Amino acid sequence: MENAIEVSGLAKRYPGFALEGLSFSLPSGCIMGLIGENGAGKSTTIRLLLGLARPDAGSVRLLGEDPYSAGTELRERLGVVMDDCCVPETLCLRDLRRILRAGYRSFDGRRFDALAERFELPEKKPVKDYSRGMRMKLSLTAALSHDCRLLILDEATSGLDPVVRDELLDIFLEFIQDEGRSILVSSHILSDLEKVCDYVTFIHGGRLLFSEEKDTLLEKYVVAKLSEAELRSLDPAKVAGLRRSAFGVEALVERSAARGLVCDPAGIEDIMLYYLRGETK
Amino acid sequence: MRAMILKDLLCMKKQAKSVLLVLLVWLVISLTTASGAFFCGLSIIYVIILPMASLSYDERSHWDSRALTMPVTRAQLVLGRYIVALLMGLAMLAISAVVTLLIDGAEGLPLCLVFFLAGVFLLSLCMPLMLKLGVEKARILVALCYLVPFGLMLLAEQLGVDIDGLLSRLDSAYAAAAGAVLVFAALCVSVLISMGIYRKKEF
Repeated sequence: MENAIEVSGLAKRYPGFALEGLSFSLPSGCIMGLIGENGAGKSTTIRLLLGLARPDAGSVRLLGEDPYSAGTELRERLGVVMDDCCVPETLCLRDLRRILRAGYRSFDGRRFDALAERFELPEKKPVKDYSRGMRMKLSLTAALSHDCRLLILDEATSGLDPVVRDELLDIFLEFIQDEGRSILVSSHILSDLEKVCDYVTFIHGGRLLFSEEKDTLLEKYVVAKLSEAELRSLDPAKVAGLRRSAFGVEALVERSAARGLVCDPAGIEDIMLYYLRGETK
Repeated sequence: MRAMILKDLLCMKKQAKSVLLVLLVWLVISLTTASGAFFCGLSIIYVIILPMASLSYDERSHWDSRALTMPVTRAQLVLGRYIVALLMGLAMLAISAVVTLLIDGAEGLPLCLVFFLAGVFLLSLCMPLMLKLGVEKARILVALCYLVPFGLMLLAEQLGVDIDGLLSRLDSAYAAAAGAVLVFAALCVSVLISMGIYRKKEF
């Protein structure tokens, strides 16, 4: 299977922040969630992927091409939703439609209109009067109105109410029906990603913690409720993180080591929280 | 690149009312003082500089981040901005030529061309600064750019150069051609510098 995204040894330094040695790949036809807390490096990673910034080291391939040096052909197949809609504030939906029609060979006006209607976007209201949710919907409308093969979204679900977030996930699933299409979506609202993602890439402090298939990940870990004695009997290598409370210990443990323990299934959010906030073994 | 030019024109359409009002005031002043050159000079330079002012809207909305994910190269994006400024300048040149013709007669027309060239020269000077430093930081330097011609005149005076004599000795047609060539060269160099700056820019 061809990869829609291939990142290898990606590094970028800014004063006070460094992204180091990031490597992951997204197979075509799949959805990847890029997760991490605020400031982990998700947006930096996306900017490097899009060629908006140049990496200090490593390489990026989007749909087989280097985004920094690729010509316009690659961008004809990209749909991007940034954390803001990035449209000058005086313009309106109709203006953006005209700009996109002039910009994309494969622009589909009917699809644009259908999405705008579905999201109830007003035609003449200037963007400066849009709410955050509406800006996101505008961006999404723009991103999905041409023949896009790779959709990249940076914090697209934040600022949206639960109903629209759910609708967005439906749109993702519709989009991915065509097997040649892929999605990379960064978010810190993990419950959303858990519903639709095939792969989860987790970065923390500019470093990759893991990039794995979601099902493998969920299969791998459980949250075990332990006594101190049970904890001591566990192989420390099998414990990814733990939290102590007045009632005992809760630990993110590899399923293979948790036989006989009281366990709950671990969600993506549990995994992220134990990795970030749990004590180390 | 068509999309980028269209976006700039649409943005400027939103400012059309205030721009037209300013132009109208200048036109009235020109008519009452019977000086076509006044309208011509201000209006041409004003509209050439206008698209650069709209760069601040782009900066605030992070438009470039969106534009660079669209099928447009960095070079085209820069070129588009120059083209918009030149289109605006040419349109205003045509309008002010008519105004000048009506007020000052045909002898005022060469002056329109001089103002157009001055506007293009300012564009050449200011655009790389705006792209390199951002609109806010470049503002002071751009204001200084406006003073460059006056500064040069003052300097020449201090050095005892007889500017009036020099100008009167110049063959006007020859000087105009030389000026146009120089401005065109400055524009080309400016475009190349701007492209170089923008190629390295990160968002």
